[in-house]
Amino acid sequence: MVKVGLIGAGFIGQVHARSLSKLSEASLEMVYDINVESSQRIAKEYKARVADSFETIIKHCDAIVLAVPTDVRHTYLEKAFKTGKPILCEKPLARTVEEGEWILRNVKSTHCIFTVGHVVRFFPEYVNIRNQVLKGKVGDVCEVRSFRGGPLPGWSSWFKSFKRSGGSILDLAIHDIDFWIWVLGKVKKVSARSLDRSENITKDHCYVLLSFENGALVHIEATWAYPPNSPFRTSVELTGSKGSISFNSTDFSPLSVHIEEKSFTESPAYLDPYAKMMKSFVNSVIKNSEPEVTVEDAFRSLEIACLALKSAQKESECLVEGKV
Amino acid sequence: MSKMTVGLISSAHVHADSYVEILKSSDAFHFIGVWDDDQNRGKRFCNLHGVDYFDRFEDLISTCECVVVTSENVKHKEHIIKCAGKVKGILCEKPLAPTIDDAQKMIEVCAKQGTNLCTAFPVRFHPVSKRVKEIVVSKELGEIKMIISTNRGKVPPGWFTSPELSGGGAIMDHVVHVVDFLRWSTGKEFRTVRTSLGRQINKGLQVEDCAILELKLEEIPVTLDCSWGMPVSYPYWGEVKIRLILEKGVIEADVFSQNIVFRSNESHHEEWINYGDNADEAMLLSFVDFIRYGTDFPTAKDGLEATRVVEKAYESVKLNREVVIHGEER
Repeated sequence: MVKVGLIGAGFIGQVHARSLSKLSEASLEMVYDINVESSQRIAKEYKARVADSFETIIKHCDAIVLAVPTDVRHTYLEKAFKTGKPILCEKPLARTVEEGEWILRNVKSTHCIFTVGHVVRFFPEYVNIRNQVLKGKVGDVCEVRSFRGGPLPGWSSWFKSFKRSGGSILDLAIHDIDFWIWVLGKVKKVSARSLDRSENITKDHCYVLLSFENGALVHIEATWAYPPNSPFRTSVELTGSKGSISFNSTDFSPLSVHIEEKSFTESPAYLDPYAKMMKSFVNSVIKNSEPEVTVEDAFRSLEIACLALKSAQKESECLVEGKV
Repeated sequence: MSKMTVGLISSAHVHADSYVEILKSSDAFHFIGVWDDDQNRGKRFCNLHGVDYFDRFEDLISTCECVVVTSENVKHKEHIIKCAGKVKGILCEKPLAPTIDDAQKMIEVCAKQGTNLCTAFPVRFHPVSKRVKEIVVSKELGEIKMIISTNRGKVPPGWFTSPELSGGGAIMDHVVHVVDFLRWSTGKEFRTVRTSLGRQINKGLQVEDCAILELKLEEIPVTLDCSWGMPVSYPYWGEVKIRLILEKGVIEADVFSQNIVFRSNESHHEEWINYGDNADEAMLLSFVDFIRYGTDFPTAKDGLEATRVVEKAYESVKLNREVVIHGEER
């Protein structure tokens, strides 16, 4: 049984706690958050202990899940790396390429098991799209349109600070950037625009246009521009030389339940994507094997996302690896 | 846990393809091979899937702990009786049998010979179905007041449309899935059925292809559309959709809708590719647990009850009136 310590009891921390409760091979041992009430809430719901400090968790747990805001990850990681314990770190890997490089170096020198929460790689619809591409169903991939988003996240305020979250490009479009790199390989060129890079984002919308070395053109759109209570939605339209694949999360509804004031829709699975990702992490801890999503993968995605930020700031396209 | 040695009896049913791919690749099974009363068909099937064909039934059955029977509906009885007493368990393709008499005979022989007879009802094992049952059982939305359901599809190939092998058309093929799902998720039995046939959709078929059943699940009015009404160009094999109207809300389930859409440059209609969890695989793995540990699984009794609804639905066509399934005539 892998004893897991959770750092960060916010929205995504809660999701990770729920995932752990679904696995028989791991358990949530301790929770830490600078907001004690949040950690108490999760600890109570999932029968874990509240840790009085970050150091206590590192000492008492076999593995660490780091679910704190993007800009403060490296401060926690500094201590965690010294113990060499396995880490699941939320996406994006870091707020800047420099911080990302520092993490990459430390993972390599400590040889610790380190993975990053690029959960889209565990969504069955995305996995299936990738499999169809890899087995040649659509021929050569020529163009992709990839959409993700809804309203501005309402559960926490740090998203609104561009300095902390990196806005819709770094927090949201990074999912699609990572996924399409996983499918299509190396990016050659990036061009992006975003609406709001202030310290008080009220709505944001971005596009990130990626040109891949294999010739594929990928148009990513990520949004926090919809009114509150709009559904979060994802879609893919992929055009290949032999045909197209499309998916829209609102087109099919496997299960919808309509109750007064709390209607919901679901896409049931034996194990939801977040639990699958946690299972994959726990497996690599048990087997002491390389995680499915490596720190190099996450760093590559961070580099491209940061290049997109630069492109949006400069309002011009950027070539990968300083070919500008 | 040791692997379960398993064989396949007949490759007649379209589901045999899905089952054999799982049986040969899953860690839970050691797949022995296939016997088929149509040797050419059996050999073709084995070539396609890269598995062994057995000329002699006895050679296959003697090395198997369990078998999966996927023969034509009317041959289930003969094949089940042939296997009874020689294996620990038999998973029989749905419907268990085309008639109540056949089903009862099969159950009787297997009970006497100490062989566990089960029915393949994969819909129960789909995560969407499991969630629906969970919500229904929680009573969060109160009691069920009405159920509207469809299990429509395309006309199946080959023997399915020959009454002497299938025992019937769309009613025989498509009623049992939803019937079993509703019995399982509510714990209730069907009381009455009235069948209405529509005008034939596919010209020249010897069996019915357009039918809607009105049922009573205890006090709950239910309609079940089992038609083979999907056109050739429909992007998927069909659908299982269930709408439950409850006291405090509505549950809508579209069981096989977790799809991405593929459109080809070579064909003029789109294709849906399912990314949902594989219910056939979950069913086969649960069958192992049932044989080893006696965990919950659709039994021959469940198969018999579904067949009872089918037989009574046909009786309703013949008599042109509502027919009692369980309980007293009104």
